[in-house]
Amino acid sequence: MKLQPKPDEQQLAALAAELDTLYQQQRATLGEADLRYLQRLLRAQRLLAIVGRLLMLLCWFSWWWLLPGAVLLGLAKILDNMEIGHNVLHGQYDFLQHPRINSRQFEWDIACDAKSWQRTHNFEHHTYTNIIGQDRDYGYGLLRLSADLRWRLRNSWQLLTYTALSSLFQWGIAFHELAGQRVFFGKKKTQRQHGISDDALKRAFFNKARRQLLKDYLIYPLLCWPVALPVLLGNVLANLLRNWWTSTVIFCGHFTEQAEVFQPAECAAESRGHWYYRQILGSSNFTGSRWLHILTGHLSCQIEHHLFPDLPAWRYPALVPAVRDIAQRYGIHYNCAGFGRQYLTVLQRIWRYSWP
Amino acid sequence: MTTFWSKAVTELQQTLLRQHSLFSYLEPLLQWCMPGFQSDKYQARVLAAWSEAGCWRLRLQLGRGYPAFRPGQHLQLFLQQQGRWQQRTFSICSDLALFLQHRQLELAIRLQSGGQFTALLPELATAGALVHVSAPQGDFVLEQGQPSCLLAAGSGVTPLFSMLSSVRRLTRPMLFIYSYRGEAQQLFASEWRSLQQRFPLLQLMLWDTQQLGRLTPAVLLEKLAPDLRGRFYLCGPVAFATAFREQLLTAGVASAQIRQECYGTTIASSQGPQPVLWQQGHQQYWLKGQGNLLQRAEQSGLQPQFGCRRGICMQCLCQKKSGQVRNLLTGEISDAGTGHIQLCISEAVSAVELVAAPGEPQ
Repeated sequence: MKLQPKPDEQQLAALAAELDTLYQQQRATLGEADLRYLQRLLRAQRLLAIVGRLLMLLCWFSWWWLLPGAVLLGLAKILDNMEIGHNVLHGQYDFLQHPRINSRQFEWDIACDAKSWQRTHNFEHHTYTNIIGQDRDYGYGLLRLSADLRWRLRNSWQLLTYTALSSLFQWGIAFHELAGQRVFFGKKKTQRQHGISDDALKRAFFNKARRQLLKDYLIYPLLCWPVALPVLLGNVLANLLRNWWTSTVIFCGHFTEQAEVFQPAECAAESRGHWYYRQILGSSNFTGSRWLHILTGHLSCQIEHHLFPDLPAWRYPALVPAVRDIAQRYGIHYNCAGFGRQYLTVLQRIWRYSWP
Repeated sequence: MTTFWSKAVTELQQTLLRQHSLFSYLEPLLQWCMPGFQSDKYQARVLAAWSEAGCWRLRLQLGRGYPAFRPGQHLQLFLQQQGRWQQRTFSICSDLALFLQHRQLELAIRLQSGGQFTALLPELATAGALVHVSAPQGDFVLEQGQPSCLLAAGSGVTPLFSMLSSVRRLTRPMLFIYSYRGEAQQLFASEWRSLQQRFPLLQLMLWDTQQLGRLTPAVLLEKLAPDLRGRFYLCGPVAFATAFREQLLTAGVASAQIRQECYGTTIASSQGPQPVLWQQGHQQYWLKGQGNLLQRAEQSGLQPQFGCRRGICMQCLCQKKSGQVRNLLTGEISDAGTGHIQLCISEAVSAVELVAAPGEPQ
């Protein structure tokens, strides 16, 4: 249901020109400030991870140390995945020409292999955002979030499916981004060319999965031998915290009540203006404090992220007024509300489409 | 056994830290107390910087951990401007004794008009400044024990000068020819005389092209008559080295006797498709066709990875070894050194060399 009439092609071209100008202005100011921000982030992430793991060792004295240890490690993983990993893999910091912190070499602390994620997320999700049948991230093939998808019996319990997906989010993402159904079960639904064989995809999946499992559930616990059990539990807890947080943030980005969906036909051979238009309508922002923005990897500014996926994310909050103003002038709905409210509408949406 | 253990340690670091070394994991923390620390680069202090014969001369003080170079080798010089790293390759031009005694080495960098990197030098590489360098690299080194002919053009004299000045005792005849354009362009002007006095077996030819005309392969073979059984070391622009190499081969010199190191300067131009060299493992392809680099690679029968084809997804990101490209979205012209570019939105505006990762599917 679109509230306002769709802008015509001429208006869309003007929209593209305005957003392009905004983008160019930001590109022109890239530099030292972005490097300093990235360095501070990395420093915080390393500190949280190291202190978190050290605190777990104190379980030798009391098991109560497990909790702060796991929370700090969880925070380190959240920073690594969201504000650092997600954004670096989008190429936001590639202009720094850093030898390792760039979209080609960075690897993150999550079960999903960075390259596989780039392949599906950066390409399919960011190009075909919210196009039914083309954006595989829309409902992750598990949830029905729009009347455009056929209802199946399994959708009746999709609120439970969602809870399970949320708890195992890193594995859900790893499997999904690999296009696991195609690779493991031979379900060839699409004709998409990846230029990469199923074997190479499987290898990447198992390599990364092996490393992550070994790290959190075997090597670190063994290295801390007398307190192996609390360390193991602490790692499980840290991973759970990260999974819940990331899935919550990500669901708030595209599955809120008013986030719109599109049909492949309206997007065939679309103009740049239409692509921008679709990115604004298909995404939703939420408001919050600075630390909330950082912990979400600035996906709280999902609209700005979808418009300018390769601008350093910490710049998004400052762009919000300008983008909102442009959207308003072209009569495009700018979806923004508080975090709690947006999340509630996500749950409502999952519930509503559980039924035919 | 050592390779097994080093592999095991690397794998462990990758597994636990997702970094190839503990130092690169700790880098953000170490930079707290050592702001210039870079885990994969060496820091160097500029002791002196001056301009000489159209070059920017640098004397660098290195730390204790810096590996000894072999005369003739080069290194990467890294400068960071507004957060961005830029790097270029330069030959070391000083003698090994200076390094062994004082941990110092020297560079002579030709100042290019309009060069992005060299424009930074007078600003960032001045006396007292800190710069970063890589370990010495390359196998363009002098093998003693045979007659040799060292042939340099322009700033190509730098590695050959390092070779010559590092020799302690010259036991075989050496013909050293340095071709330059006018007295003002002659590098190391104050040192040639003492080198000639030091080595009786050295035949030094300082070839000023403004007075003696261009040095051609024919002139070399007829007038200077180098020993064709010895080794040849060529260093200069690509066209120079190629021309001499061809003539030497025709004159009966075996290709194993010739070592060469060349450099090419790139000039942005907008006339027609620029030559693009695509390296994949040991194979090289010249790209055909027109359009952006992704289209050209495909028109040439290659199958690089791609995704969105509009500059969003970063899947076609490729390493550029040299050359300038225009970003088709923003119109920005890249810098001429190494860097990563998105093939789908890049167009070559000069000769470009690309390196595809060897593991990538073709």
